[in-house]
Amino acid sequence: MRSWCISLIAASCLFAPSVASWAHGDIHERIAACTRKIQEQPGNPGLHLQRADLYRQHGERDRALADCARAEKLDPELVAVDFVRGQTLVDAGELQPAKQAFDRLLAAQPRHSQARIARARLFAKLKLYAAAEQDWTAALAHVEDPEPDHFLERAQMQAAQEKWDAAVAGLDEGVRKLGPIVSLESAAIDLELRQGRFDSALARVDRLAAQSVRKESWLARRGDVLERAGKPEAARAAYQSALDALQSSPSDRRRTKSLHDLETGIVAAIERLKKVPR
Amino acid sequence: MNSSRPCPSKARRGAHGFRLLAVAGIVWFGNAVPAGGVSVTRGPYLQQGTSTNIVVRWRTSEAATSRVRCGASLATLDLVTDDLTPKTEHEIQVTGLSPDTAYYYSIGSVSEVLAGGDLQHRFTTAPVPGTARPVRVWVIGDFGTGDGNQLAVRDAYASFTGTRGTDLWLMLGDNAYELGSDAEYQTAVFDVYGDLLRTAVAWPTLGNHDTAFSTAFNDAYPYFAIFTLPKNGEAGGLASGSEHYYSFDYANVHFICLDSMTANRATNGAMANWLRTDLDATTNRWIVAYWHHPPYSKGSHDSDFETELVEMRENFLPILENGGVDVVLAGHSHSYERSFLLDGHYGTSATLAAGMILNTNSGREDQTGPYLKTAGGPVNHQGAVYAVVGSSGKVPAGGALNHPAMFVSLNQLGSLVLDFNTNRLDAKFIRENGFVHDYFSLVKEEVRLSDARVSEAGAFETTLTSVAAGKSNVIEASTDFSDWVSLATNVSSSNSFPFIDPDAVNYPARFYRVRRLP
Repeated sequence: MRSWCISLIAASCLFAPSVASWAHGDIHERIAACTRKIQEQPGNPGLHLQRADLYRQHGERDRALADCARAEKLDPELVAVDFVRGQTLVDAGELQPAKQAFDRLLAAQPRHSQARIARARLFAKLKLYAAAEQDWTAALAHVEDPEPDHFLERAQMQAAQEKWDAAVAGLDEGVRKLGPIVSLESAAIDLELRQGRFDSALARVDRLAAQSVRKESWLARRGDVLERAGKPEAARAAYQSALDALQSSPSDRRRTKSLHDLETGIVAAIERLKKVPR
Repeated sequence: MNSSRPCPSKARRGAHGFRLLAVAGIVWFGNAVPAGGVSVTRGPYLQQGTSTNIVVRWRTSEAATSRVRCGASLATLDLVTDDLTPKTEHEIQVTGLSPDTAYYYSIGSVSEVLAGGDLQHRFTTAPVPGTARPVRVWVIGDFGTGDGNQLAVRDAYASFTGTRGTDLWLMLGDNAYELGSDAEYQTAVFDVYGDLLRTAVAWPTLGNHDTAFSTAFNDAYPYFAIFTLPKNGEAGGLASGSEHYYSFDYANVHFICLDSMTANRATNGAMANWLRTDLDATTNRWIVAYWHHPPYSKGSHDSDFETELVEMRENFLPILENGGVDVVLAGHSHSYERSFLLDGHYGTSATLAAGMILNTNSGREDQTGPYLKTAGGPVNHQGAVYAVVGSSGKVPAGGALNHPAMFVSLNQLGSLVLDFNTNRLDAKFIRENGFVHDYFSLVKEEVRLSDARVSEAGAFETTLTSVAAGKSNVIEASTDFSDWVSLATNVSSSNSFPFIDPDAVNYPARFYRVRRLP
């Protein structure tokens, strides 16, 4: 019995919606189908766990927890029950009991990265930023294909503790693994500026500019960094380069709101810097 | 002849989406690998096509070396790319191709050809990005049933397109029912679309069935082992760092694929931040965005209540409309629903206001004319057409089909064809029986009412500019955006047409529009 249980449980362990889903339509069918299977195999803990997760997705806390309990009773060693239970309790806003469920699971399976991530997010909700950071770091050590958001979320936890250097280092870890992508580099630029590390910020801006066909927004960002660094002449030159790049592109290529806003911002910056004594 | 150049992104993965742990233990066999008995069990299929590169993938029954031979004619397949590491999942990136050029190819090992080298194995590279030339896109969603419905939709499109061929195709998710397993992909994708997969590049997005309903944000799903997607900007878009969401260019169209299933849908998440920058970076005329969960639907799913649908609408449509998106495609609801030309509708269906429908007509050239947008590149908030194409295999059923943003809502099987041609997009919904059940056009041209003013006598005066010579235009007026009356018709012989409405003085407010006559 153990082997077929495991495959179902493995599938169930993937279920980890971050928010309650009002997925009417096929979720009803899936609950009904799972119920039919349970009727055929009432002693199958994996099916109860599967249905627990479906109930959770449907926002039915009590039914989800009841199925978790049944699955656990059928197989007391089935630690994955605590993952679905924890998620259900998180969705219901019962964070401390949810934490206990994840604690139990992670004590049994410390490398369960999805549980780590779930508990990291739970800690963030509890404003326990150090604990969240710790779980993120542990999760990132085991996640095979990390995503940009994983690094961003950890950096947010570190920034919340004012651990700026660690936050930047964590984003750089993401850049090393995923490449110089804008979502990580932009966050790092913000952190560098906060720390007054203008040269590092400029280096990141230049890296992003190098990979973009259109340079104007990065040239403008360069101007912004230089202005914050107290280098008005260099800033004005950068802004002017941005404006030149923007205006040299065909007029029909710069009519989106963001580019209009960019042009307005650049012109305002140039005018502002004209008033700064040389 | 190219030396060994395996595509790096997927070669390390096993057949079922889980990475092999013992890569380091592979022994270099080189040409000594016995090829006898090796057969192709999947593919070949084309991925990540650009104007100079393409990825060719296939699966073999036994581990073997990989070789792709390419050439502009069947007699000269002399561009050879090898990977000498024996494997069953073959992935070869062919580089150094010429833009917009037809190639023939074969696949196999270094010692034998296993498939191709014939008229059925060919592809045409993408044009140089930005080039205006006709582009045909086939769009299918919620198709992966492997049953007769899916085949009927496929065959109806094949009959429709005939020898025209397909430049690229979009898969809107739920590509393989029920759980997106590798075996289900074989049945619902590779066994069904073999001909198209080996001649045109497919660009997929992730549906709820492709992740077995999981929303865990990881690459463990078979989808990611099967497809090679441009996370590093390999196909013209900005690098996203994730195969979950990416962009690419084809001719003068910029395509954006989002992940509505597992990615962070927050406005400050990595996907949203990347999207903003990607939109700013594009130099193309057209922007098409697609993902699985529809922002507007009253089909088998309801966009007023379901989390993914609500969040994609509230958080991503403002970004896309700021960036000048033209068409947004989704599936999930097993229906075909197509909107008016819309802008700024981010709430539930009950909040749709008249001003959010920029054109209340059909968008059909032979009826009320195409939807018009300003010529050239993307312009923010000039309207986009939203389509749910979720009935390319799944039996359409359920839902009130009464979303007020939709011009047409159908519980019918079918697929969507997008034909781009310079400044014009023509779209057709092809039913499984071949019947064209809906169609619309979007045209980007410089028709503008400028220098508008009210004279001392209260007359409204303006100039219709940049009117295409020889085209008829009618200027219409309304007080409520609903009832329009014709005021003047002009066949332009120049690019400027002055217009005066002396009756304007009789109305507290009067709105004007220009409509191109067929």
